[in-house]
Amino acid sequence: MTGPRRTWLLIALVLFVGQALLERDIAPERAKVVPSQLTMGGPGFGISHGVIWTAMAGFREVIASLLWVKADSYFHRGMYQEIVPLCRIITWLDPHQIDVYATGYWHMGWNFVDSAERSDRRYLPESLDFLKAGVKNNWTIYDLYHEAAFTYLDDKTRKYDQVAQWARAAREQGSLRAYQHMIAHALEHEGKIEECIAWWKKLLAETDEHLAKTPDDRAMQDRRHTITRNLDLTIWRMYDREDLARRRLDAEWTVNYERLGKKKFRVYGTTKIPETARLWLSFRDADYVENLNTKSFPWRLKNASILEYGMFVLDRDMEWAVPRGMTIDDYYKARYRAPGYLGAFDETFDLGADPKFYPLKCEKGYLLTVSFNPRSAPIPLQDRLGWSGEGLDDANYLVELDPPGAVPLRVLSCLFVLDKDLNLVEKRPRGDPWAAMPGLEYDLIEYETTSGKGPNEVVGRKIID
Amino acid sequence: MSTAWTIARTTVGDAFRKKIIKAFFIAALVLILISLLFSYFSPREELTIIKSFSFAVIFIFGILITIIMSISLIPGEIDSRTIYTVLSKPVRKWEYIVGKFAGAVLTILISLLIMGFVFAAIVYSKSGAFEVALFKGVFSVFLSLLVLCSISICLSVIVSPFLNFLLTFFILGVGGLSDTIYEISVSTENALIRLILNVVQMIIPNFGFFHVQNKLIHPEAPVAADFVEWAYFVKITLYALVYVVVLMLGAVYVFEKREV
Repeated sequence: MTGPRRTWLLIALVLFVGQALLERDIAPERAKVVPSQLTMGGPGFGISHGVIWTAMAGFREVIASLLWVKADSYFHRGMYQEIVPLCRIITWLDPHQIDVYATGYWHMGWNFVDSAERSDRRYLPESLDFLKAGVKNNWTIYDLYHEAAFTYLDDKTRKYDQVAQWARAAREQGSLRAYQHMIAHALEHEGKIEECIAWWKKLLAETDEHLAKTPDDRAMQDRRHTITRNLDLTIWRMYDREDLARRRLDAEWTVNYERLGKKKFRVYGTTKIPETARLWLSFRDADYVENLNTKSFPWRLKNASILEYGMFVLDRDMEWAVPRGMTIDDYYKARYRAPGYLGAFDETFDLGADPKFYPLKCEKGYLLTVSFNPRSAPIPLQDRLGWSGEGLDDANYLVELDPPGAVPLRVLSCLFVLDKDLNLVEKRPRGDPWAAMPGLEYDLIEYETTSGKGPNEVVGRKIID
Repeated sequence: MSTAWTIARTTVGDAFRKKIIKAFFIAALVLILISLLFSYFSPREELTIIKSFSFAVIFIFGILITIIMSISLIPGEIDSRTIYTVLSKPVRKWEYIVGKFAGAVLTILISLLIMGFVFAAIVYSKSGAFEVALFKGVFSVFLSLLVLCSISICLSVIVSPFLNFLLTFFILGVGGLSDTIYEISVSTENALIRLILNVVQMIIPNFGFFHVQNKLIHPEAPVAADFVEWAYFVKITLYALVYVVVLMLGAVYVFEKREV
């Protein structure tokens, strides 16, 4: 071997060793950000990253994007079920696709209904779990915090104590100003009226500070108007509802269960609570909460039964018509103050029409709870009953709840214990009052405000003792 | 060096005259423009799709242009005997190799720059902002193609074009799985597997190091910020250059010994 060639060989060898050392420096850094280090969200999806990476080394993002285009086509064709696993795969490939988390959780939580157009609740825990996975992977982006706040505010979960936490988290990550009103609404829904008023005042001060610098900002002027109106209304309501405890409305609630067939039942009753009130019906396996914590989602999809539905209180004739020229407020006053007023509710549930939604396989039987929570009542109703049921009374079904760290609440509740054939075993007035505050069975979240950290999870809690 | 530069310039001209290279190049531009069709999504979704799609197109077509051009760069001239004309001049064999390599690199660079500007223009039309950071992604693609080109040219003086094609794609595939290989190597308890994987990692270039597009596609994401900082780019540039030098030295060594 000639001299120069030997030199080249030596140089090549030295450089080769050098790159090996450089490689040992770079590789561990990359390991911190490969998707397997980020949460995939939810149980029952245990496919190794190695499988998909084998197919797509270097092309995760474009595959994820193209799968999202496919998911969009499924949505427009009404193929909602197919979107769910696609969303999982897409966010697994690329955990930073915010819109996929936002749309996917919405599909799961909102878009599946049974043949009677009642919401399919089976997907709700997974929907929230998926959303929280998105938050954990993208903790500096306010969008998903805001989506979580909205979900808990919505009638679907009605978990008002969580709303303010998530909305505050969204604010910490720089959410749009308009979204921050949600914090005040959440506090009002929790019954924390003074905190709610304090928050409106805080927002008002921030708005005034902004307007002092940019007085011609029309959007901010509109916002100030909204804040001022909401603040004034809240204060007015606070004083107007002050004496409700001294003039409680006796709900005179009656609630009955009737088995109509193998998978069919009827719930009906009467009440003095004015129309437009919603009574929440929760029908589930006796071991539903236990299975929620211990069984996988595919298992629960096939074997667990859960139905939640809001029944409207209507006129005894089951008609609802506000006379022309009358406001709803006046209608309320005319109706429930009229002597002899009695509202009614009557719903039949044929679970046999949707055997896939309601497999009814629980050997331990079922629990059916009917409840009324004034916190989710419309404003005209709350004007009479109060934010926390201060103006509500009932001889047989009233329960006073005192959740830790929350404002005490008066709810109406009745539990029907059914056997596996839906025969009534026992009726318990005041039974299962926590069903009036649903969502507890899905999960509890403690949010840490330390920057750079996402929410922690405390999963599951039994609601039946 | 002026000889090598002359050869490089000629190589660029030859490359862009080749129909297949032109076809790939135009196809890449068309596909990047096609990403504009995804306008029915929300603005953020649209930008995500455009960026991820365009990065993938630039990478895929960059690979095709690089490999197709490189595998026939030297064997083609040997087959057509034009290499004798070149080497009969006072051109040293290492100058010839370096010149050809430089020409290939220039071709790749020009192609990527044009694709990159079209890409940036599309993003500008959607977002209203000219994102210079996107060129970091294009530069990282360039680095990976630089290594790929050097592999291909080195193999072209050793094996046949067909085998070169297969081997280059094989190395690209294995090198692209570098992150997965690393994960397995640190998590496995089998010492033999760990040794084999470590050897594989050390020998085969880790193309995964050049995959930085996730942060560029999701600039607001809270992870992977380091991978678009200049310190990281310095490291991976050094890494790429080491491979290039080693492989070019290997190519020169083999070519010097070879009877043309």
